[in-house]
Amino acid sequence: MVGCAGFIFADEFMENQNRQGLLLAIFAALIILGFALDRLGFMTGARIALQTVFQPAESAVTDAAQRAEKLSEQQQTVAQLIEENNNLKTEANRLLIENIQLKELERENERLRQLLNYTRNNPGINFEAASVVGQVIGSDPNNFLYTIFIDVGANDGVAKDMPVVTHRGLVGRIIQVGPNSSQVLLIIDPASSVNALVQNSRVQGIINGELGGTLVMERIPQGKTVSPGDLVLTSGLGGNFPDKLVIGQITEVFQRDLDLFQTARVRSTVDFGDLSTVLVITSFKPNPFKQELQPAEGQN
Amino acid sequence: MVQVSLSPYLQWQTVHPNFLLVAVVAWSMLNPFPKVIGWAFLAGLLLDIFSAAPFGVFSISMVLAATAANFWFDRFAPSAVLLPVALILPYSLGFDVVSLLLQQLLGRPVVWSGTVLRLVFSAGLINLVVMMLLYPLFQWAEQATRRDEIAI
Repeated sequence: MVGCAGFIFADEFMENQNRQGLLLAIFAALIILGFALDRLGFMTGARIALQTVFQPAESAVTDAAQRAEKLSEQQQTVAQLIEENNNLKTEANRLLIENIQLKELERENERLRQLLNYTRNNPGINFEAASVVGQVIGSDPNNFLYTIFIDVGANDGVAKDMPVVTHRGLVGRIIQVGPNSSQVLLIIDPASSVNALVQNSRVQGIINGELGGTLVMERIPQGKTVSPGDLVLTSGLGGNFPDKLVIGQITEVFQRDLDLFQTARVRSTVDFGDLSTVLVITSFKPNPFKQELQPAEGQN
Repeated sequence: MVQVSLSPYLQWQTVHPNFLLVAVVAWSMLNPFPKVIGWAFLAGLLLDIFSAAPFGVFSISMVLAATAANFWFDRFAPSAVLLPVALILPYSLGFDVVSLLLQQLLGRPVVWSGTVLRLVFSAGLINLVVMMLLYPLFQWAEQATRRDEIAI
């Protein structure tokens, strides 16, 4: 029995072994066959056919995998983007501020260059630059008076009645001086009066301010020719202002035969609504003309 | 200082608002005379200090404006806004005309032409806009101070 059972077991074992060998042989044969067919170029059609059959499933799996990968990447990318965005915002803010500062510097540079040219063109005059921080530091609180405050004063050598100009022309004169600030009466103020002459015809007159920011040239003798477009300069008469400072341009002439004098409207070359930097002519000392004309003691 | 510093930036056709006048008129309409007159004088004094006008012009004009505006004290409902706001226009015109008259009396040249009228009316309109913005604040301030006084 035992021998019989042993044979049976041995037969089964051998049968299994043979079956496994056969399977291995078949697989090996198929591999060799496939390899051979592939080398001979007969496997392409089979491959395409198989790929076509499995393509939808393959795509689904690939898609799912890609989605999973993208999701993972997106989570990383959002964090990176937030950080990157913050960095870019900081950078943009820095550049914006830098840009504004550069523009401001450019404007200041332009203004200073114009003032420098003006001082070079007038070497006989000693200028004290009155650089106002940002803009003019203040103006008269009343609407009917045209004065401005500037940030230079007695400590900078500024004194009362000194003329104030820009590269465009005459602005006004100092009427009040503090240690570090001064008040300037603009020539457009009705209380301002400047002796002037017309550049072409050398006709003299007096420039007075008018409410609304315009200038009027009065006391122009009858018979003298003045025309719109003529330039008006300071004449230096009276000793209150140096001569040859530009005041403005005649825009309109009023001439009536019955009047003693002609009158002309003058447009100032200075934009009084946009004053930011001015020059105080510190070397100019107003001539106390009237005091000099006072009779000496004991003389009448 | 705010008015002097801000006026170059708040101009409309060379005219800027008079914050102090608006404040004084609004305060005068809401408070009894003794509580108003000192502030009005102080406000006028400040204008005189910072202005090139003959000294005293604005102190006098401001006290007059405050006295006139105080006529309306306790004559409005506490919540009324439209009429008090509208009244700044005549008070602004009156203040400017009185100050110009005083300037002329004190020797400063004043050209009474269309330009003056244009400036006076423009200033009045700008002050009206400012009053619309500030009057509710003054109402609130007045009610707050009144509550404090009652509590004391």
